[in-house]
Amino acid sequence: MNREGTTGKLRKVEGFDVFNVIFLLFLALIVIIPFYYTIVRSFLTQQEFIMNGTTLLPRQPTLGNYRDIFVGTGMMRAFFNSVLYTVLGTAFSMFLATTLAYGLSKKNYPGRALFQNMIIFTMYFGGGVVPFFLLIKDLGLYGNRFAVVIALAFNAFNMIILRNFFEALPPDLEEAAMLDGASAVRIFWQIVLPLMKPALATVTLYFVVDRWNEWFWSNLVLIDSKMWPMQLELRQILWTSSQMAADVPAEIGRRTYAEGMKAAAVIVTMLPIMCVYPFLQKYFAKGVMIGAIKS
Amino acid sequence: MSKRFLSLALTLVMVLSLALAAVPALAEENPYAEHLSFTVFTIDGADDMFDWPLVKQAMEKFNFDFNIHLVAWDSWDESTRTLAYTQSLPEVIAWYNLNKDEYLEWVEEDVFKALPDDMSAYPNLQRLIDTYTCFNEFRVDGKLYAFPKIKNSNPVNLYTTYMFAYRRDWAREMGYDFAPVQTLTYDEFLAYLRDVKAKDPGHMGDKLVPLDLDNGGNHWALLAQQWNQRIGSFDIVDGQYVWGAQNESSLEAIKQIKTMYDEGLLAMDSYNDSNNAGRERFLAGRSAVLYGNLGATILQNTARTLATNIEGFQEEDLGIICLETPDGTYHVSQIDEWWGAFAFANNCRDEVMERWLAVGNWLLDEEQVETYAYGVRGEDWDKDENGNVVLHYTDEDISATGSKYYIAQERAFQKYFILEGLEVYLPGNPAYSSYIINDLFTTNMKTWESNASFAATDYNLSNTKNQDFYSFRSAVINDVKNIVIQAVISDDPAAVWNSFVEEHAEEGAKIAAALTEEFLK
Repeated sequence: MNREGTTGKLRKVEGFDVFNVIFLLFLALIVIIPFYYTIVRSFLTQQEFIMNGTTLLPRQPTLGNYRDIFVGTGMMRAFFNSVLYTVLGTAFSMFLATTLAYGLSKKNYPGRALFQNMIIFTMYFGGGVVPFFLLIKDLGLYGNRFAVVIALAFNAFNMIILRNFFEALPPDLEEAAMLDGASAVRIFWQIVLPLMKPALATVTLYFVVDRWNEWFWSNLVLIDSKMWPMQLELRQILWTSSQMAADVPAEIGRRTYAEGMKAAAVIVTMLPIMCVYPFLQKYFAKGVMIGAIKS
Repeated sequence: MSKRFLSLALTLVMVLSLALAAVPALAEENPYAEHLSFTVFTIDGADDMFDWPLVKQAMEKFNFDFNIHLVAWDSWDESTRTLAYTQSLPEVIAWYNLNKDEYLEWVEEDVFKALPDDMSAYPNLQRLIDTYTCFNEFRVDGKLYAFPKIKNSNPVNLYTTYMFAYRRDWAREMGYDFAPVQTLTYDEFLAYLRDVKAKDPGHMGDKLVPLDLDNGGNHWALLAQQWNQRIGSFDIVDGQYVWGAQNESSLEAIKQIKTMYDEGLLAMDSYNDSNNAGRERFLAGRSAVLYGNLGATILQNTARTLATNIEGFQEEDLGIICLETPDGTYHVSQIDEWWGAFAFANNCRDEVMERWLAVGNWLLDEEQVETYAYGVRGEDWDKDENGNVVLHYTDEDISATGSKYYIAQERAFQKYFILEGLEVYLPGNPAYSSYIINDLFTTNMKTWESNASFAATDYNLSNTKNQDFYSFRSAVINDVKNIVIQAVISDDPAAVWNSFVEEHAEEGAKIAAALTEEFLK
C-alpha cells in the first residue's frame, strides 16, 4: 500500500503506520465515547435513561436538563463572573509569568539561582490553605473579587516553561536590537514576545483552563454568592436539585433529573474552553514541545 | 391672656414630661428597638431571599437584617475549617454538617460563644432541649456551644425510617391480598421476591428487579442489620461490650443477601450502584420492592412520582412490608437526632445571639410553620370549615418560574434554625395524603412498636476517650460495608467473613473490654 508523502511522492505504508493509526483511533475513541455519552445523557429524560440505559440517540430528546440549569438560577451572572475572572486572571498571570521568566532567563541576572530555587521550592512545598487565607485576609482582599484574580496568579511550572523558551532564543537577536538603540522593555515587547507565540499560546491555554475550572478559592474568599464563578454556581444548582428531590413535598418540588443536569453542566462548562481551543491549536503542539526542551 | 398662656405652657410641659417618661418605657417594651445587622454563614440562600414573606416578617418583627455568606455544600468542611482555624467565622453559623469531634475541638479552641445558661426566654427552644437527649451530648462543662438541629420530627416515635416499600398493584396482579402495611417473615419475603421474578408482573423481562436497595452496595450492610442490628458497631451483651460483627447472625445476614443476589432477586451489580440508583429504578417502575430511608416526605414523593410515571398507578398502590424476625420482633434502630446545628462565633455580639435565638424560637410556633409550609395565610391559603387547608395557588405558581416560588424556597430560612419536616404532620396539610401519613407511615411505625427489637443509639461510643476505638472504627468498622459486599459476591462467603472477623477479633475484644471498663463498671 502506498500513500502520498509531503513531497508529493507516494510512500510505502508500513505495518507500524497501520498499528499507529489503529492505536490512535483507539485512544481517540476512549476520549470520544464518554464525551458523546455525556452529550446524549444531557438530552435524556430520567424515565428514558432508567428504562433504556445508554442509547446512541435519545428517543425523546429534552432540553429540560439545560432549562433546569439556566432558568430561575444565577447561571448567567455566574457565567459573566467566570469570564471576568478568566480574562483578568489570565492577563495578570501572563504578565507575571513572562516578565519573571524573561528576567530569570538572563544568565547575568543577580541572584538568579537563589530566585529560581525559591520558586521551584514552592512547587514541592506549599504553605497550605490556612496561611494563604490569612494572607488574603490581611491584605484586605477577603470578600473581594480581586482575591480570586490574585490568589492563583503565579504558577511556577508555567513560568519555567516560558523561561526555557526564553533561554532558547538566540542572544544575537537582542544584541542586534540593543545596538540599534532599543531599550530593554522595547526588546522584550517588540522583539522577544512576538517570537514566542507558540509558547505564549500554550501557557495562556493552561492559565485559561485553570482559571475557568477554579472554584475552591472562590468558595473560600468570596462572601457574596453574586460574585461566584460558574463552577460554584453549578455545584450549588446540582446540590439544590438533589435536595429538592429528597426533601420537598411532591407538589412544590422542581422535577429535576440530577444525573441529566450533571451531564448538561459538564457540556455547559466545557463549551467555552472548546471554543477557545481551535484558535490556539496551531501554536499548542509546537509550544508544548518547545518549552520542554532546553537548547 | 397671661392665664391662658400659663395654662398652655403648663399643658405643654405636662405633655412633654409624659412623652419623655414614656420613652424608656417604650424601650423596655420593645427589646428589639435597636436595629442589628450581621452575617450568617450557610449553605442555603437565594438572591431574592429577603423578599420571602417569612424572612421579611422575621426581619421586621425582630428589627434586623443580615448578609449571607454562602458556601458550596460539598466544600463546606474545608471552608468551615479554614474560617474556624483563622477565627474568621461570621457571627452566626448555620452549621450544615455538625461533626461532634470537630465541635469539641473547636470549643476547646474558643471558636464558639456559649449559649445562655438560662433559655427560658425561648420556650420553644427550651422544650427541645428538655425533650431530646442529644443536647446533653453537646454540653461542655455544662454549657452548650451549638444548638443541634433536631432531625426527628416524627411524632410517632424515634425510629429510623429505613423500610421496604412495595408495589401493591403488582402484588394484587400476582394474587396476593396484601395490606398497605404487610408483615412478612424472612421466608415469606424471600418467597414473595422469587414469585415476583417468576411471574414478572410488570412484564419487564430482564429489566425487572424484585428487590432494589436505595443506594446499592452502600445499603447492603444496612440490609444486613435486619439480621444483626449491631453488625457495624459494638453491642452490650450481659453487661459487657462485644464487637457486633462477631455475632453469628452476621453470617446469616450475608447468606440471606447472597441467596437473593445469586437468584437474581437483587439488581445485578447493584453493589456498584451510585447513590439513589435503586430508588430511580423503583420510581421508573422497574422494581417490585425498594429498601431505603423512606420518611413520610419521601414516601409521599415516591407515591406521586410513581403515579406520574406509571399509567394507572394510584397512591394506594404503594405499600410497606414489615419484615418480622424468627422470634417475632421487628429490628429497628434509633434515628440520629441531629444533623446540623446553629452556633455563634466567639466574637458574636450578645444582642445578635439573643435576636437570633428569639427568631428561632418564633419560627417554631405553629403559625410560622404554616407560613413556610403554605405561604401567607389569607393570601396564599386558608382553612375551610373542617379545618382543611385550601391553597390559593397552582403547582405552576410555585414552580421555579412561578410567581409564588418563594413558598417552595422559604424552608431554606427555616433550615437555618431547626429542621425540615415540621409541616409534614400539620393537620389538613394538602401536600400529604391521609393514606401516606396514616395508613402507611404511622401504621408501619405502630406495627414496629408492637414488638420492636430496638437498637438505641449508644452515645458512649461517641464520647469515649479511648483512641483505639476511633482507630478501630475508621479502619475496621467502616470496612464492614465492603466486606459484606465481598462476602456476598464470593463463592465462599463464610470464608471471607470469618477471615475478616478472625483477623480483627483480638483487637475488637480488647477495645470491647476497655469500653466495658470505661462505661459499664
